[in-house]
Amino acid sequence: MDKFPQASSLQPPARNVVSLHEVRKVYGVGETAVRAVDGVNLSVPAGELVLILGPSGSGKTTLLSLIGGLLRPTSGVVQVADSDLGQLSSAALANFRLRQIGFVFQFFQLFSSLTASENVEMPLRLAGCAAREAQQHAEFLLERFGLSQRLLYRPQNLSGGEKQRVALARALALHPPVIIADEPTGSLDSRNGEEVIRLLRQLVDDEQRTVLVASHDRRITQVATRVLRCEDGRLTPDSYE
Amino acid sequence: MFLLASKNLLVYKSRFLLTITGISSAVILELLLMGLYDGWREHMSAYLNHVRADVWIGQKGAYDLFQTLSLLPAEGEDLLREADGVKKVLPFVGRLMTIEVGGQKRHGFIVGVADADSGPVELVSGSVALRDGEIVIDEVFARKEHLTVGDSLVIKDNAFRIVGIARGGNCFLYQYAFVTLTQAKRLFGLDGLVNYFLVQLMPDVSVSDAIAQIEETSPLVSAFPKAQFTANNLSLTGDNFLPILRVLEVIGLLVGTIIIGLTVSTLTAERSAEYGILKAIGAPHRTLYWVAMQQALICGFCGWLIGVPASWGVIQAAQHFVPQFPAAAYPRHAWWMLAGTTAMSVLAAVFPVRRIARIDPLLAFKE
Repeated sequence: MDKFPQASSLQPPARNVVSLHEVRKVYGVGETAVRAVDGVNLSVPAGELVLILGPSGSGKTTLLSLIGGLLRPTSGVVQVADSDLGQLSSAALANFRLRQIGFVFQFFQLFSSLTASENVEMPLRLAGCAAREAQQHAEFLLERFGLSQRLLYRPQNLSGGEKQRVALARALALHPPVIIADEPTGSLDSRNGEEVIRLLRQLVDDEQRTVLVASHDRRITQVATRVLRCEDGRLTPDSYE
Repeated sequence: MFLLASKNLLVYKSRFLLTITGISSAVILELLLMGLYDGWREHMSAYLNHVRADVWIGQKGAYDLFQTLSLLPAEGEDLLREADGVKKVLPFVGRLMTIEVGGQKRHGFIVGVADADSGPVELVSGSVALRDGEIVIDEVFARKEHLTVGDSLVIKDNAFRIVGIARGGNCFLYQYAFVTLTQAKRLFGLDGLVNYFLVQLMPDVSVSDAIAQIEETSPLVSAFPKAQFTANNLSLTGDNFLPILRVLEVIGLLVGTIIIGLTVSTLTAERSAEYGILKAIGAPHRTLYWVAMQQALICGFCGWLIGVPASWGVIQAAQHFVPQFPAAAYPRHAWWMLAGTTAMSVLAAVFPVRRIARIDPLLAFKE
């Protein structure tokens, strides 16, 4: 299992895990150009849970996509886990996403034809892990999230909360230092939403992971180490904080 | 990724089954055409390969049994026998004739048998020791016309009793039948004439040298090595009919490719969000392409797996209901078809792969 460093072996790095310098993302050209992210500067050390609040269309998801290596900035520097994402090739960027980022999406985005266990195995298999090893690790993660009785269930047979816990287990499969969660409680009821918030906080407290959450859910402010507001592609400290 | 590829395919079981049915139908068609191609050539050449002759000698300009006419004076046999290096000379007479069976007119290629060297390929039942008024027919003709040893048929108002049934004389459109040489000459009106001479050479004599010598001393004849003469006879079908089979084979491959392509393309379109998620969580492009390729290969392989035994069944059934159907089934056909279905699958995956390349990983953020 040396491909997947255990939590206890992760040492807090001295530098920032996420660092954005004058990052801009512009869609379109000329008069129709839209500045989805407009000159953002951000530094996040390990062990922080940063909540980004903001209305729809404010640029939250674009910002997370830039940090997660799904988009390249129009200008500026995005550095995550010691990698300057602007300098990476497409293949290297894919490898970066696989090993350095864990994604949690609002709509869970599980593979509907696969079981819960197989969904969690997916990043492990992509990383070249042997089938049996991947299965054992996936089962370990799902047990950790209280899903030991749901290993062979397909997503359509799981509740919303269970789906999001499977998605969290998948995000953690390769022990990435950064977790990016886009509206992780957006499709959940109140009780399941709180459970997911608790799990996200646990990742920060117990494993010193860096968690970036984009959400409308103000409950997350209670567990966030920092709350930022995104408006018109710009980040500002949230006044609510 | 095989897990995801196979499970996504099996989500829509009825569509997968339809796809497999379509591909196996294409495989059956391909194997049938391959079998027909090889079977035709083998059936057409079986008798000519069996005849013991190193050299066929015919009238100048004649080159086969079916398209050209060869008439040679029978006394040429003595001249040839005296030539250096010649071991044995047999006269050959043969012609397509109408055969009356129970009042119905059929066709057969009647051969006058001089001795066993120009007789049928393999006797199935009865005897090959012919006397005038007796005939050995091919088993395909026998099955087609429901004839057996002891039955009678009529050729040019002459009644013949069937004394033997042989195999290896099926040319699809007609079959070989064997009568005595003297009776064949009478039937064909070849008084003092033969169609060809079959020459067997001494072991140490070169065929090409012998042919050169024969054509030099007898400018009015054409001489062919056995293989060349067999090839000449195959050219009737080889040049005209068999290329049509090749065209049909290409069409069959295209149909198979389209079926696989359609299934995998549809699946890719339906599952584009999942490809987006895979891209988002770090799957490299080559892995995603491999998923589509694996799905195409699974479809192709399953179609092959069902199509191969089914094609053998179809060939058996076809030969049962149409005895003259000259298809042959060989393991090499199945291996060729495996290569064919692999090629079909790879080709079919091209369009889905192009689609995958354009899928946006940001789809993962959408519902």
